[in-house]
Amino acid sequence: MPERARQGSAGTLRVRDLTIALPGPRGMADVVDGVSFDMVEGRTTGLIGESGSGKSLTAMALVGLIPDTGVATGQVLLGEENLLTAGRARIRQIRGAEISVVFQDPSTALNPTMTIGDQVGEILRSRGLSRRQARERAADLLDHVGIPDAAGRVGAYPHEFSGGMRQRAMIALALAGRPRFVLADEPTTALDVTVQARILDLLGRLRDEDNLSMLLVSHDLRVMSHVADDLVVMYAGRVCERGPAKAVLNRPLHPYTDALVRSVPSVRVRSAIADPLPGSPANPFDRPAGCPFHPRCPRAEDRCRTEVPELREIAPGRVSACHFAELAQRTPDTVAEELR
Amino acid sequence: MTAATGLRVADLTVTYPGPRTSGFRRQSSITAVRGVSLDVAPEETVALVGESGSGKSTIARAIVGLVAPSGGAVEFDGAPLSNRRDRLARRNIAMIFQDPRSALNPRMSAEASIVEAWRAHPEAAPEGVRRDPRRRREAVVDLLAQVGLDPDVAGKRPTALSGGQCQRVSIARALALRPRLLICDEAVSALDVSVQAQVLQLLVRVREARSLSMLFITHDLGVVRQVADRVAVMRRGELVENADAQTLFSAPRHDYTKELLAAAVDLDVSG
Repeated sequence: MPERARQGSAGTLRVRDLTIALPGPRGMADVVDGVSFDMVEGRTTGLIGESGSGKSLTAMALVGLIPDTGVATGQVLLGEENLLTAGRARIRQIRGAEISVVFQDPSTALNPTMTIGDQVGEILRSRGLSRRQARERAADLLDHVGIPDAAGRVGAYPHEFSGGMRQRAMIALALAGRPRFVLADEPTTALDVTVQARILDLLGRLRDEDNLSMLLVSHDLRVMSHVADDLVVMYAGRVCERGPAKAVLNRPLHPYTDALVRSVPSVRVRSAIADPLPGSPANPFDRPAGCPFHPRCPRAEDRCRTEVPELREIAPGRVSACHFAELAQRTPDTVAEELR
Repeated sequence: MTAATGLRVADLTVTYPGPRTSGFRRQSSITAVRGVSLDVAPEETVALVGESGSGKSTIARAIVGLVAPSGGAVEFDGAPLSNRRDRLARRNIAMIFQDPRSALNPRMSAEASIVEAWRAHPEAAPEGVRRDPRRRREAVVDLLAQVGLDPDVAGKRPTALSGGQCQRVSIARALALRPRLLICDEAVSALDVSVQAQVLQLLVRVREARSLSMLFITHDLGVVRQVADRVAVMRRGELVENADAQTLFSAPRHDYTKELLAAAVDLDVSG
């Protein structure tokens, strides 16, 4: 890819206490409740959760794409600017240029009546490039995302591409405006396994080469474990755990994360179904009192049914919203130390 | 009564007509499945894996008679399933689909969905359920209990149930006809991970309690690892490898199987 024109530090996108209310069966409900995390330059943040966790809504709120009936409060800070209070025109300006989005299903996100080259070129031309420059740059971008014979395929329509190639084109489209932040919502869910692995490699490579800050939204912990540097685990609209990905997966500090890790069907071992969590993910419109996870939690006590656990730092960089996170943090070594 | 030999698919070929290019013309036809032979022995679980378009779902559809094979044969316990009238033989085979919500009639309660299956196959219905409403409710509640659902689910429609609960109702409905073979077509793919583990555990338990055979169609090798005794790998309509699960995972023979295994994204907690 041609050298990045932007100079200086790409910085961080800071999400603070993001709360999103949507109309539900019993009036407005905070289906996303007090979510905070950072998107750091050159790092991929994984936003993981099951249905109703609010992960996609959280990601879309960063670029103003929540339903018209919804109300978002809190802060999404790009530098000093709060995007939640920025006007529509300003958000449109930011979307695509500063922050862009890769959607799950490229066959619906791409325009079927325009060539791939024209779709990428449209963005470039809106940024002042000539028709010819746009076409050349579009070919560069398609090449950058690993589309073979890119120059020869700028004139192709989306239906002439395979699913994996369409997702690459979608990524090229997202990169056309040279964003610093990329939001990818389940970008590999609709793809075949062999293609999935290649797209994940591509996302990792782009993060490194373009020094992007990426937010990867997924329900798939396996995908996350390969791509995410940091993890934000959501349940029923709240963050239940946050921290460096490997640390979180190796030693979860929240029983929900622990259960997710155990439920993952692994190719290596036959243990995912030994001890599944009971019940279904909580409905954020009807969130259980206290810790929202308590009805399914193997270690729930009375306190968990009434008292909302505070999200707090348990170890450096490790944040959890479990009343017993401090206990989970103890290892056999530290316990032995305490007993000594 | 024929011997229990299970499912036998021999040299199955399924051809779909090509898309219509105008009112009278069609493009050449597409062969979705080409000469596939596959057995599922009694009480055996065979996973059928492959990427989208590999023909795995077409095989399932041909087995239950949703598409007509253009060549080859399908039989269950020695009885051919060659035409749609083989009702008795087909009753032995039940199928569960990926999206439980669209597989269930949205206007029917769980009880009505199950009772409908008995109405279609009265010979498989438990005694008395056709005339006695109380006996009917008992039989439904009993089935629901077997799939881990409370009695109050009987009166609920799919919209009032979670995805996992809907899939359990689908399983209960499939079991209502006392099948010998359960075909699961991506039956857990659309479920949340924590719920997926529950439903897989349920399928494994039901299989053991009822001595069922299973044909488990999925693209997820992690799921295959959890349930399968044997694995058949499809690629572009052809069966490229068919081996004992342990062997296939530890020593795949076909290049494509190796590629699939290498690409399988597993949980990585290293480092």
